[in-house]
Amino acid sequence: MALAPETIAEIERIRAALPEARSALLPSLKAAQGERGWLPQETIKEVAEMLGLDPNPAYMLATFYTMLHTEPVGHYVLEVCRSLPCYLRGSDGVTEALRAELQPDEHGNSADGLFSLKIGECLGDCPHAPMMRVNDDFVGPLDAATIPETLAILRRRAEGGRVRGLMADPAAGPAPNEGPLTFSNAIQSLPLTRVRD
Amino acid sequence: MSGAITFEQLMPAGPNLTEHRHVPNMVDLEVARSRGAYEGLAKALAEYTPEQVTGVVMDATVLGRGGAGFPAGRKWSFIPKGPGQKYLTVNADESEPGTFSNRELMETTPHLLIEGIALCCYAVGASRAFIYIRGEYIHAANQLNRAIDAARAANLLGDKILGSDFNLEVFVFQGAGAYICGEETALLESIEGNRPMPRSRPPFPAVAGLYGKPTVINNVETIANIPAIIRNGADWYKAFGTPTSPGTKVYSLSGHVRRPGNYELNLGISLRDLIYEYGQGVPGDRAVKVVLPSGAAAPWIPADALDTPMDYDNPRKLGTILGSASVIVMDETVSIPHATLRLIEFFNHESCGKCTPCREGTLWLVKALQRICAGEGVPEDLQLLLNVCDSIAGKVLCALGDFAVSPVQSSLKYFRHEYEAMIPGYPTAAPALATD
Ligand SMILES: Cc1cc2nc3c(=O)[nH]c(=O)nc-3n(C[C@H](O)[C@H](O)[C@H](O)COP(=O)(O)O)c2cc1C
Ligand code: SF4
Ligand code: FES
Repeated sequence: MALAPETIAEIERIRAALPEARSALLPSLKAAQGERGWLPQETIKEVAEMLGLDPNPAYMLATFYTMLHTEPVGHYVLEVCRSLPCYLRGSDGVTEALRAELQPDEHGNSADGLFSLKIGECLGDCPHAPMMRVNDDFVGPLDAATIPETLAILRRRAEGGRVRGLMADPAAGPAPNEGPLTFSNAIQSLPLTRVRD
Repeated sequence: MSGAITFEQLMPAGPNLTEHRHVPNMVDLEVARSRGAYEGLAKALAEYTPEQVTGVVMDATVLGRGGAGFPAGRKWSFIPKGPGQKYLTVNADESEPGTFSNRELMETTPHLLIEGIALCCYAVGASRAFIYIRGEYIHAANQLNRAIDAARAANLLGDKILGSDFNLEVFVFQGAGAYICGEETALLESIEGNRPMPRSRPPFPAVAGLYGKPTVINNVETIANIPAIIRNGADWYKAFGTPTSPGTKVYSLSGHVRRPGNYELNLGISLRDLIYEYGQGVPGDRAVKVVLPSGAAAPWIPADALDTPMDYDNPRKLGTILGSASVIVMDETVSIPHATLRLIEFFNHESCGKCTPCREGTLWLVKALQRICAGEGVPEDLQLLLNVCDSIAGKVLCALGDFAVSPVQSSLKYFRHEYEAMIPGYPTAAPALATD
């Protein structure tokens, strides 16, 4: 399971851009995670060795940060926010609806391998509470009643092969919002200040 | 309710930071320059020595927007003069529940931050700057990287900027999900590839910061204030806000308001105006129960004190702080013990574990609050909560521990009856609790 050539090139680019090799560790681990969505032990070791660093502290890093995964995850990592502003707007109901639909195992993964459900803390999108992160994108405001529909849209998009970077790149065009899948992190698609009732 | 309020109505005093947030494509250098971007940098390089830039910022009294309110100019003046590598790290970790103003600044007007960075680095003699941005802000990081590339191509970054002797490289460093990385020394550890745990001080970062070198750490909004100050002068800036809290602040409003969002307003606006004029009040016209002035972290402000001016001085009279001005509103329907539990669970989850009182104490608080919320509390639990708070506050390495006790102390100060009502057999004539 050697690192892919593109990942190696990316890590070399990261290393060259930063003043010290140790600073390249976290961004390189993230780049390596891009391959599978998670970081097997050998991958962490390979990344550390590529940078001339001790692998043991690198394992510790990988377990510290919530965005690094040391166990397999689905195509979509759903991180539903539970912090106070989202809680006040009904995030617990949204979480329940997601659990009911996905029936996640003890690692949070759905049986079809498509989704990993994580419970997270404030993602800086409180005006669109309750919200969740879907891989690189923020989706909100969510409604417990329409969660089945939201997930159905994501399943359909996965069949079309569009999983990562659903909206993170504005160069990709206007926000592909569909019914209860409203991206809130696209510039000027849902401004952080807006009118609501 | 009427339709959208225009931005001009929202910012009657003349906007400063967010003036161009609705201009499309401000990441484009030409668009940004047509709105004045980098004029401050050009002026500083042509007319001011580095010391003079620091002097203007000191005179303007820019109070740090990340929470503590320390004057930025003074912080810069602590950086030793003379040769040797120095760094600026911009704190864009923004992970406090209820904070989202840095995100909007970076997504909409990235060149504003980059110009501010260049001015700060020129002032303190730093040739390298990091923007430490939380990992979830992918979109904002992309915007910053685009803006940096464009600025470098136009010789606004890189070597011999605008023909001067000033060189600067700016790196966007993306985090990976950990609130503690917003604590300035944990942030440095994160950039250095270590587990992000706060350092003990001294030495302070101005002496030994990133890679052991003198380092300025400022919040995004602090730095974004600088270009207009250099362009227009300290007196212009001091016309905003109050005499002791000059300038504007981007208030982040969330929770039970009709229109949550970012509002750039003069420092000193009252919570009442923020909630009712800008936030358009509480859904269903319910009553405000209590307000959290600075995310999860600071002591609360009760509903009878909504006229308190939200500057750096007045909240202190209520035993709290402006902090990051991320205002969370809770209405009368909220169960205070449940909301408190939610806040303490956050701190327990985010405690880095380095200090025993914080690591174990927040867990004790969570367990006691869970017990109470489940109707299984005992009368002694309330004193227990306060005792655990006393064993954390002031006895730990970083401010997270102090933040963690404020929801417990505030909720018991103002809403003790709600806890009592949830505890079976709570004695009606209970001894008074020491809550301050
Ligand atoms: C747990 C914790 C989290 C923090 N998070 C942030 C943050 O996300 N952004 C920030 O600017 N400051 C944060 N701070 C404050 C920083 O340590 C530091 O005071 C600030 O970045 C200094 O910048 P300023 O002087 O411009 O405000 C945090 C502090 C603590 C203890
Ligand atoms: S107070 Fe808490 S978060 Fe801060 S260093 Fe100690 S254990 Fe870590
Ligand atoms: S509380 Fe959920 S995004 Fe801030």
